[in-house]
Amino acid sequence: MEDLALYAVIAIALAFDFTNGFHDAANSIATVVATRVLTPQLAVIWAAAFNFIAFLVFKTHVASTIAKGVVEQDVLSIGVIFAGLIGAITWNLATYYLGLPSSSSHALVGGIVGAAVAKSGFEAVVTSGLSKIAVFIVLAPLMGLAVAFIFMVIVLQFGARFHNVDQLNRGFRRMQLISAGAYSLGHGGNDAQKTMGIILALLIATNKVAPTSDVPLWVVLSAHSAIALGTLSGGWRIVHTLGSRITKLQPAGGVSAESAAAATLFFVSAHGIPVSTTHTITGCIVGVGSIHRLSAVRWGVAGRVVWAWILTIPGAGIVAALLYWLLGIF
Amino acid sequence: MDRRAIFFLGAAALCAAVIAETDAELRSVPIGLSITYVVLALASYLDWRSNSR
Repeated sequence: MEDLALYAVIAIALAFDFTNGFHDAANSIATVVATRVLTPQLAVIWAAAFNFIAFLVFKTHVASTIAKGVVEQDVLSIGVIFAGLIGAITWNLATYYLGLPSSSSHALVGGIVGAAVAKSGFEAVVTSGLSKIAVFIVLAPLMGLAVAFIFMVIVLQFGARFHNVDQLNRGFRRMQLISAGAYSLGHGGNDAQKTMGIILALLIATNKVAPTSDVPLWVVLSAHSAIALGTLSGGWRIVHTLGSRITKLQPAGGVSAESAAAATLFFVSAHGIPVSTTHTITGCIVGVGSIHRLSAVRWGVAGRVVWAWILTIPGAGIVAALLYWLLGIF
Repeated sequence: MDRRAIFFLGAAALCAAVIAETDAELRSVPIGLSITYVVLALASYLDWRSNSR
């Protein structure tokens, strides 16, 4: 019976990963599609391939943080993780309905923390791990913004030396293939590892692997496959993209934003910090948009991201805690 | 008034505010970002002043 529950929660975690790929594909392919470097279908194949091969590039530090660095390991159980996952999914659906660009990663962390607190009180929380995640909720988009702004300054200085604008644009369009691929690599590296962390926590909680164990290879491959399949199946249908909602991007801006986001995601993944990839690319697009003037940025969307920063972890935590209590009643 | 410089100063203040909460091994990140944003604010202000003359 416990094995059945374990496989069911692993399936929910992989479904969560699939929806992450489905939802976030537009972030990486928006600019290459908008500038017609690739058709939407080819662009999602490109993004999905880089999502998948990210396991060859990144170690599993982010997965270890999620499995071992957010709540005390002896508190984790199938019930806690199930309530956390469903709490995160419920929060994502509610905020999607309300138009709040919340992060599934923050919702996942909030959900697990909320369910663990409902089980064992606030002693269940690993304060140092949670504070590292909370700090980088703020720092990752600001890091992306600054790097994107600086990249854009360099790109504009470089571009000013060119007299043939068509040739320059062709060059940037080709570079977008590399920058979009690098961003998808960073996206796969950070987001797929959150699911790996959840599955690792489940395996530790049910004594299938030792608490000191690394992430098993089958978990790594299934998490990357789920996010890549999500990207493949959903991305091209998403018409409204961050690229056009926040500020209008040209090829040079697309290259700068994606390269800055990739650099930020590579950095945080190497340090085992789970961040919101959507908020990171949003910061980068704001950085590119503010190169000429701040009014080029549609601050309504960026402002809603800030509200999502503040509300998501406590919101998803409360939903997951309520769910855990309800599970206890039934 | 250069709104972009004020925005960058706000970002610098936000980064500075989380320095104390950051792990010692990663503390150079908010410190570096704060300094970067102050430099960007200064550069933005100088750009705005030269354009408005």
